[in-house]
Amino acid sequence: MRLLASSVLLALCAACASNPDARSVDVDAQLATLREALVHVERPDPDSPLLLADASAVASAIDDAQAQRLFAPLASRWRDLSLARTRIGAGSLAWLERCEGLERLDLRGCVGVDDAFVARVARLPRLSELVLAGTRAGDGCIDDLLAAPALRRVWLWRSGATPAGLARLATRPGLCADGGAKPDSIAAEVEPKPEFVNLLPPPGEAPLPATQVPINVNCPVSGAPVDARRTRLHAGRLVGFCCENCPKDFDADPKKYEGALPKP
Amino acid sequence: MRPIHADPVRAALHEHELTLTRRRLFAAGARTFAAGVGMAALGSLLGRDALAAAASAPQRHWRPKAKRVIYLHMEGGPSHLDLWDYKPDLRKRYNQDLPESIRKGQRLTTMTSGQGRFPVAPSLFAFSRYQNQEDGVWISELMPHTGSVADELCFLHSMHTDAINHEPAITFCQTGHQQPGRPSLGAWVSYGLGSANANLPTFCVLITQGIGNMQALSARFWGSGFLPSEHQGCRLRSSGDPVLYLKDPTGVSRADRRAMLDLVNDFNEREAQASLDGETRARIAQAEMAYRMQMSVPELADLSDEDDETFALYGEEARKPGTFAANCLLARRLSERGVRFVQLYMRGWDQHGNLPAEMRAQSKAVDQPQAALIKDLRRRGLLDETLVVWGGEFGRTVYSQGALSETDYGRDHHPRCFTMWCAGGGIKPGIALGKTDDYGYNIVERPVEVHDLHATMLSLMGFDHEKLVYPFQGRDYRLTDVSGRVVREIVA
Repeated sequence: MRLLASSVLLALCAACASNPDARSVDVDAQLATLREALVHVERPDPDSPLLLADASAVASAIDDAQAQRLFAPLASRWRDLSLARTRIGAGSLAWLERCEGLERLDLRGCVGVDDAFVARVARLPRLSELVLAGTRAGDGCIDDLLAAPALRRVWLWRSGATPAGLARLATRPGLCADGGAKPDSIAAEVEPKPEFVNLLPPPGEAPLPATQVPINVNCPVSGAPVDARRTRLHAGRLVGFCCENCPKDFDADPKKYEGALPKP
Repeated sequence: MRPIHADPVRAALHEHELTLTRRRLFAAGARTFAAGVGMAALGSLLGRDALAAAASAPQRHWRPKAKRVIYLHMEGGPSHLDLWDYKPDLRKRYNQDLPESIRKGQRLTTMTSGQGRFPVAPSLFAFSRYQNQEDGVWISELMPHTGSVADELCFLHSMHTDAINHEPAITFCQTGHQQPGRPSLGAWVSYGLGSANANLPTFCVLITQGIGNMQALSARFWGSGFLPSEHQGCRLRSSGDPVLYLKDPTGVSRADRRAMLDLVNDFNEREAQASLDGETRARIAQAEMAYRMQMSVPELADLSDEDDETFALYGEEARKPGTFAANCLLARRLSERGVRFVQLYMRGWDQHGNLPAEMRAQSKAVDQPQAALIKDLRRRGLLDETLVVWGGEFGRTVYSQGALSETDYGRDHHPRCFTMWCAGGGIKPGIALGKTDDYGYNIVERPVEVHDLHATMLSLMGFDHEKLVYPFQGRDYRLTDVSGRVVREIVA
């Protein structure tokens, strides 16, 4: 397994050899730093050296300085960053702008994220999913989102975006903007109260009564109250029993118990 | 790609590496806390453990579509005929005997096998057709809120199982095997993916008591079987402390607790070295997790940061711990904190009798919260990476168990077909797969086995279900045993 981890790191180094930042970074040491800080890091795609990080375990402790220390050295390696509920703001933009492989950025609940912040990260060339729910981003960044080169989905619930801003985003083909007010699925057809129809009697029998409520209140075998789930059809009438054992006695000798049943 | 840990040597090396790492961790931990350095240093120490664990975790087989799962298990087997599988023509067959050509001699439970006849019991609930990505989907009047998110749901109308009674059927659903002893689905996910939040368990379990007939809910349903026991689910209780004995006893400071834990862990570590017993190592891991949860669980369970709008969405019941609404809200909080697998159980769907009244109450308890969960995940940007699964262990019979009237009936267990639905996490939204016959008794189009569902779930998490294995008793075991095919039609 150590071999596997090493091969991952080698792949990382090879993929980033052309990046001047990458050459100066001890990837192994930086991954260790991230994990020591309880930031989850994984390589989700075996065919790509790019990485995913999730800071949810320590979100409230991560500010711009911490983010710089933890994430900036591997800026070119991030594909998916979850910085939700962290305290990052403008001080994290410099390294975020270097995340050229970033495809998904989750900034949910980051109150330090505003229009100016979004204007800069929206330019990332591969960013296709951007979560801005609970941030201070508003209509001031709509133009930047419309111009974002790869953006496909953006979440703006409880941000500063207004319905008018969201409507503008909806004009861009291929961009799905979720403001948290997606209309409910509509009931296109509603049935009236169902009516039951008993068209045919059971084969070989006279028509049954419309209901199958037992004719007796007390069990013909034990005399205990009837459990409506324990029944037998006897001489065209539904007989109820108190338990699952009494029907066996009844079946063995029905005549013995007929006297305990109501007369037809 | 080679199976994960199929090679016993690799598995042993994995364990050895973890052992060495923990020895260093605890030795350093004792010194640190004796000096009273505090949480920052603890984070650093735990990070080393996390580093070793992450380096040793199985590698996914392809890029995943889902990062986590919320599984809403409806214990007891809800009636597909009264909720999701719309059969209007049955109303013309009310009280007729179920044709033998439909029943085909299928085995019955002892609860109805002695029944004199098998009268067809149409659902007395009206259905509505909700818009989705296809021609619409018919949903019972009992689930109007769920209908409102129909365009997010993928219905599987053709699920079937091998088991006819609760215990083996739930075991099958949760572990891929009818007999007890195998790891649960959540444990497999924990083993495969590891933790995304070192301060919380990877696999959490939340239970809601229902209204109707309830079956035993054994802890083995969320057990780890032969997997290391740190992968078992952690049940969060609905009353009192969410996790028992998590608080420090009166008079014991956090530093004292740390020192005590270090000492116990040191003993355990020596025992693990001597005996090579993996379970002793698991005990150490769990003690450490419990220590971290002393900080993380109170914050998780404290709903004071949720506003009135959230409670309006989930329903006011969400303010009462242990309700399904409260557990759905907690599931969202766990998911946004990176917990990989959240297992909810809603008990009480075993309506052998008094079905209409009980289903009204059960459905009322789940409908709004489960729809709210979908909406809440969606607006937070979490739904597309969180797989939500809803379903019971089997369906219910079309014939009435016991007395049938126009206002009351019961239904027995029915393994031949039932409905489940999924949402988010790489699932195609707003579609339905599979069909049953006119009686809702047999599958007539695209049957889906429980193993197929498991294979699909693992696939969405980035794993080939045939390669995610664990060596035990001389062979490699997997969740899907020797079966399972990914249901490609429902993958986005």
